[in-house]
Amino acid sequence: MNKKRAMALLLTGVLTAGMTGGTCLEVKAEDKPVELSFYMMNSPVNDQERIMEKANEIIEEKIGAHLNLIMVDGSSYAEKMNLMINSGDAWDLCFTASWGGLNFYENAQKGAYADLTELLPKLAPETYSRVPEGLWDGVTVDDKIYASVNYQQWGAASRSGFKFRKDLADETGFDWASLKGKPTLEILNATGDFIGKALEAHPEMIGWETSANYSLFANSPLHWDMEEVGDVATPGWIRYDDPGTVINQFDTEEFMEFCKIMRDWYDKGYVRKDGATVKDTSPDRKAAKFIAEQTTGWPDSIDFEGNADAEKMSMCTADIAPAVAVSNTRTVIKAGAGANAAVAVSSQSPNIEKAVELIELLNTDDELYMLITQGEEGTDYVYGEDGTSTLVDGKYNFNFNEWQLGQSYSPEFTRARYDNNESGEKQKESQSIVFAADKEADVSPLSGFVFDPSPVKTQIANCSSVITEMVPALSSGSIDPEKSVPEFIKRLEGAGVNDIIAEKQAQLDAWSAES
Amino acid sequence: MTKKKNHILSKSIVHIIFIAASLICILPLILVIGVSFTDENSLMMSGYHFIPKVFSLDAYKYVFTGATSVIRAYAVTIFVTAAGTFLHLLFMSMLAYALTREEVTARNKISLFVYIPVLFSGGLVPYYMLMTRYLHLKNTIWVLILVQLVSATNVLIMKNFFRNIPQSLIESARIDGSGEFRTFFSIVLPLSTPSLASIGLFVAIAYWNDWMTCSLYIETPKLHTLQYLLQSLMNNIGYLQANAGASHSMEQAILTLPSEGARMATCVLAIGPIIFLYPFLQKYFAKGLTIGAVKE
Repeated sequence: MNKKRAMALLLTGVLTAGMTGGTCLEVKAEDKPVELSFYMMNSPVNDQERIMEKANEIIEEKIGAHLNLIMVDGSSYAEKMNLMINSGDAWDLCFTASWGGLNFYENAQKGAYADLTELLPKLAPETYSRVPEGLWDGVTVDDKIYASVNYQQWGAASRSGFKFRKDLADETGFDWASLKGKPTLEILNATGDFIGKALEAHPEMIGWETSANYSLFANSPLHWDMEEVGDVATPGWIRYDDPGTVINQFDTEEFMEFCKIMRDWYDKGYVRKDGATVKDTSPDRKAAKFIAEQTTGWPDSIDFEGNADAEKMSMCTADIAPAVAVSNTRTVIKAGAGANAAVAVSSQSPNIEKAVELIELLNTDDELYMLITQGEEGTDYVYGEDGTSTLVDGKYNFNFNEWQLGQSYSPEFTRARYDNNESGEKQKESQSIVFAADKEADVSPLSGFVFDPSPVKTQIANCSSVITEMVPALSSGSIDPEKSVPEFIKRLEGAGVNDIIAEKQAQLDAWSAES
Repeated sequence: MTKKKNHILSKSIVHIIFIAASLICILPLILVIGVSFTDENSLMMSGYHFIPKVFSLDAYKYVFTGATSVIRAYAVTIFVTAAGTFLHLLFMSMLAYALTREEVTARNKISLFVYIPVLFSGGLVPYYMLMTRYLHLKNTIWVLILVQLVSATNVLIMKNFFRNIPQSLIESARIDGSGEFRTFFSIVLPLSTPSLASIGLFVAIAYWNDWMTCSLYIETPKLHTLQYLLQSLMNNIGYLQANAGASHSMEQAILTLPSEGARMATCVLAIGPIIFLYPFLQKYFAKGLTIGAVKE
């Protein structure tokens, strides 16, 4: 009896202590600015304290909040965020996306993210209005918006193409301009001839990049006039010509032809012999070794002369590796474009409204955004005599991850570091072409559709292990496609590829019947 | 005569096998050291070489001045390894000792409590919840130490070792008026140095190489450990390249990552000190491996 009473007393004691503790905290919160944590993916940054102190002066004055920006390394970010969500750990805002294991759709369905459908137009009106309507579909699950889209300075519509070394094209008389708008297979065939001639004169170079990470077929459906349904790495794409039918992208003529070309290039020595296992190709790129490459940037060299990005090979400067670019695909806003880069608010956050206010502030206060993403002018970056801006070595450097924090696009081009000269103007001009096109681009037939992979989880896991084993080998030409492609398809069927495609088809049919 | 020849033959085959095995272990290490001293441009143009074609200290300069503060990470790792190993040995041996004493009547029940986690684990999510929401250890240096404080396997090994210490020794200490703590610290522990040294070495290496705990619980760059830095340096490039389609900025982000040479230099720095622990403690090694396995 006594024991029980003591227990009850103790419990009440603990409860009241807990309650009073709670109220104490609330009183304190009103005096101090609201603490908001924002998780993002970034490598370590120098001088972060100095910049964040200045940034927080602005944030505290404008909305009475204190931003705690937490940077997690790219390689562990996805795992860490998912773990925090699953264990109910506290966070307020985070960068999210639908690629690289970040699982935007899954987490949104789970209820990890706060519903922003009403809050965004109310508390972040300018952020909301700046983004093209179609992009909001990409972050909408069950008619609710779960994240704020980071509209990037590179636009939302995709158009892919190819880049060639300009000096070598001139040298060999390669007519790259005639390839504009041609199907990818035709371009690859023409590129093969070009690479052959160029390699004869420059045997130390490499014709085409192959790696374990990236396959021109498996990672780039747009090049093949197709689009992924759900995650790009899973089987089941659609053709733009026949958007109602889900197909196995590996069981197509295009894939077979692509593998044959790569095999031919492998035999002729146009690609690295160890392409199937190479993970890091940046040394080859930096050394300007590639003769031709794929590109996702546009406008190309025909549409707009002077686009600085089109005039150099990837990771090189224009003086060591001058390039020309042609785009050959349609211009389309893909279904996943909205969830390509977005900021979500935790549904468990006690300050959801403040968090949305912070999103608006980050997206509309250019001074604040530039401070966090570029540092201070004169200290962290300087303009040279010719107006070219450069980062100062060893100072604050956001590692070009500004696109995770908020919109890097603004109609006045005041949210990125442009050169104060002609080339800066050119860059703005080329980007305004992209934004104009965003308004007219085709909208993906899948826009608004979200595939729920949970019914076929096992099959997807089985298939992806087959894919990660076979696709790098086939895409780098190291195995003979005549024999291996049918074998690959057979193994996919054994792993349940048909279930995945049937499931995608069923969900797609149900969705199109509804809308 | 033939016997001798046979002997030489078999001996040389064995030698060749072991020489090959040692080379397989040592050559990559020498290559990494070679690459870390090579000029970045020559690395891109002519690839890896054991002896640098163009010698340069740039990689080390970068590592010591760049954003990834290696020196601080060194301090964190050394502190965690030293403090962690000491505390681990202390708690683990105290627990193991108590479990061997007959005076502890509940020792079997406590043993069961110790051994259950060897067979069953709660999984990552409950583990994370415990650390962050109940113990509030997130983002403190203690999480790096406490997580590995007691290992059930080591308790088992130590327990078997303590059993070999004659009861009469402990009893006579008691008769002479020594308290439990004094008996433990002045009589039992000094007798256990070989086993403590070899377990200590394993524990130190485990603390030194642990990057998982850091990646889960540490958010301030100030508390990053060396192995975590290394791990993320190695993995970042692949991850970013695989997802480069998401943003044009990603390509530039890859360019800001440390160069090949810098990654190798970090590697060399990360293996540096711990490698010297081996020869220092080697004499205990062979003895340590039979601890608990042989009963006399």
